[in-house]
Amino acid sequence: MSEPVAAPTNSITPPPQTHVRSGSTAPLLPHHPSGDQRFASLDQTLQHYKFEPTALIQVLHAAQHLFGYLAPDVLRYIASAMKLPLAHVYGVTTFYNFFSIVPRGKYQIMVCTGTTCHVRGSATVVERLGQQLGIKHGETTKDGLFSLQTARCIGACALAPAITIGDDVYGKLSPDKIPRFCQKELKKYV
Amino acid sequence: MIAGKEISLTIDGKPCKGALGQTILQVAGDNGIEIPTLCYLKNLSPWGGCRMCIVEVQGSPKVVPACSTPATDGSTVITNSERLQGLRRLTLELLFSERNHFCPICPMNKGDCDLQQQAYGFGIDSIRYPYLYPALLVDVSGKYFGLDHNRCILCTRCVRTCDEIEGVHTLDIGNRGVKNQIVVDLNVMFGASTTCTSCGACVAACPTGALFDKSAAFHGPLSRCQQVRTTCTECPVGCGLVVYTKDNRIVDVFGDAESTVSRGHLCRRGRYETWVEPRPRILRPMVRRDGHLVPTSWGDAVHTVKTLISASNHGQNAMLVSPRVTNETMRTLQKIGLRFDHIGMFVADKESALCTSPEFSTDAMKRLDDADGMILLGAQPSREQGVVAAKIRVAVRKRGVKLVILNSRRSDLDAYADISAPIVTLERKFWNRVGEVLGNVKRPVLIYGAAAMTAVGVTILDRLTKVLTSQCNGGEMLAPIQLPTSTNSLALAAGGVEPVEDISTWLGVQPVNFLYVVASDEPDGGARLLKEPHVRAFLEQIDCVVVQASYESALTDVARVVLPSAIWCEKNGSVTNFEGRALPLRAALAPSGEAREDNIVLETVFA
Repeated sequence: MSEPVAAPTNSITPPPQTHVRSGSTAPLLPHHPSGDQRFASLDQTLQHYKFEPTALIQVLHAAQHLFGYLAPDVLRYIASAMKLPLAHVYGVTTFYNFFSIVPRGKYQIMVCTGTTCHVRGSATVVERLGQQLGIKHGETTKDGLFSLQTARCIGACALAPAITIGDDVYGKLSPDKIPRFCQKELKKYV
Repeated sequence: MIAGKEISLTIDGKPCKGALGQTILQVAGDNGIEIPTLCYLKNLSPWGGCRMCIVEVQGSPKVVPACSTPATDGSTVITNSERLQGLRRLTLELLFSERNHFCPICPMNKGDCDLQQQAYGFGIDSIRYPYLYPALLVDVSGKYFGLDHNRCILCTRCVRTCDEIEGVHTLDIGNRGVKNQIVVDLNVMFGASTTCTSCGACVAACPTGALFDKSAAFHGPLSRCQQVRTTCTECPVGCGLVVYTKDNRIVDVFGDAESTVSRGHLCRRGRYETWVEPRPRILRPMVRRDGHLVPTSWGDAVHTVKTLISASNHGQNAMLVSPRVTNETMRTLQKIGLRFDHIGMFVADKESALCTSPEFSTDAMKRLDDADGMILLGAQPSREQGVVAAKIRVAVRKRGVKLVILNSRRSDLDAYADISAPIVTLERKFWNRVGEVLGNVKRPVLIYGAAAMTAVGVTILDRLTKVLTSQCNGGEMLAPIQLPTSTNSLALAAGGVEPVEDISTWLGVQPVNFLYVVASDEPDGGARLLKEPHVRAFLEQIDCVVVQASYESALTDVARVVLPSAIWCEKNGSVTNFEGRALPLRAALAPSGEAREDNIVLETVFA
């Protein structure tokens, strides 16, 4: 049973454009000098949350979704737009496992290490996946396609041990199945 | 803390009184009961991270941190029991096992380290846990201080100081769990920080040797130094200093927590620049012979000056004084004033307009704490009066104070402002925006500096005063704060010394053939007098200039006689700050070489 199970519902989408307030006192942001349109998208998120300092985590979520990871330039942009200290933004970013400040692969392979998956051998799953991909936990393959990470629980205990690749969930992946799984399934993403 | 209704509780069997809203630690402290602390620091928000101040409260099975637990009426608290001692020891041992605390090679060894003192107090001679020995960075890239992560106990005293006192929040905690570490901005080296103001408040707050002053490190423990409380003469704020000295040299300079003006905070200039920056001192009187300045005795130098004065034509003697001189020197000047036809003080750009009607802003520092709206006009506190800038930043970030800045030059404060604009004649639209921002403000305060004293600046000043008085929503506009640039300029102006801004015009108006310059301890030695080339040419031409200064400069190159004067830490007397407070100067060091205090030199020369 290694077919994609269900469409994910937890992906972070930028808030719809209709929420942008017009004529409000929210500061207008100049276009990012790089001309990168993703910053324009980020501006919409910032305006949606009205530059409230408490919305930092949501903004970081959106930024990571847009850029793949949170580069210093992106963090600096967010900090200055939200009038937050750089060190505070960095502190929050590095506190959460989900946020990455280094470039990651195109697809995130997330191995669940929650209790059920742990009992079903998720530690060996991480190890075997690493062997197959030639990387360690937290690293990215040389071709930039896959990063190998763990998450405490993805809420798919019935499918333990479970992993996600990008937005796809794969369940009941006992360690022995890993070599075949890699040969068969990972090709889809190449 | 809010002064609440009185509560009574029993601490260690002693009946204690306190106010509702106080923490257990505060009540205990007020009643003379000491509870050990590490991460707690007065004037900062409690953190409750180190768990040294844990106490037992009767009826609760858990121990609670005294620094962040409110005292409750009728409770019984135990601050010292075998259980608590055991837990505190454990905490200390865990701290020692986590990072590399090797006391013999730490600058805070022998009495300056809170962690070491606590360990001695608890008689810790061995650690029951394995040491982690993490390989951590020692960041000495900062100009004045270093950060050694190995000695950090993550008490966040520096983080809270940087956030709550200086208001820049350069420091924070990064990463998570065992990887926790103090980070500077986006995890850059201290030297590369774009927000750090080098105020050194974090160093003063650090309980261990993690943050240390580079110039003070390994110069002996501060606990064995002599301490002298004096006043900073770098700007008109007049912050309190504690100067630590040993063998007639400065070991370190900290803010004086008892100072009513600054409450222990300092800026880069007062904390470091005065004693860390290398400035060549003038140590002996010198007289120019055959085109060269030759060291000589005081007697000879004074004799030469007297000869020069008597040789000069009556009515053509002038004296220029630095606005940094003490009030005592001013009184001496008033006495000898008759000997000179013109006495002026060389103030900063546009500052003479502030001095023509010297106004002291009584209790200005308190008003900065009270205001809920600030308008900064033509002043650069982050460059000139760092402690005022810190107050403004904290007000904006912590109290949500509205800030409008009108300045001809940009500064880091612009990032905190709701509106920041240049001082030019501004259109209606702009004033509408100002009105919008200050819409709900009840107690606005207007802070203006020397650069506001232009035609346009004064118009804006009037306009702002009108706008603010008319719309205060039932509150009232606080008295404006005048922020001069030079240390003692207001007191000198009030004492009748004429402010001089444009030296060349001043020298051109009156026929001068003898000029006596009291540059005192101006950091540039008074060289700014020679900003315009023709002033230098003029002084070279009259060839009759006496310079009384602490530091060598271009000015001494045109002098016939150079007299060494004492610097800030060698002076006694008083200066008057911009609030009109007379603040004491106490000599921490004996004058270097043959230098003497300004008023003594003047009295000797003009006796």
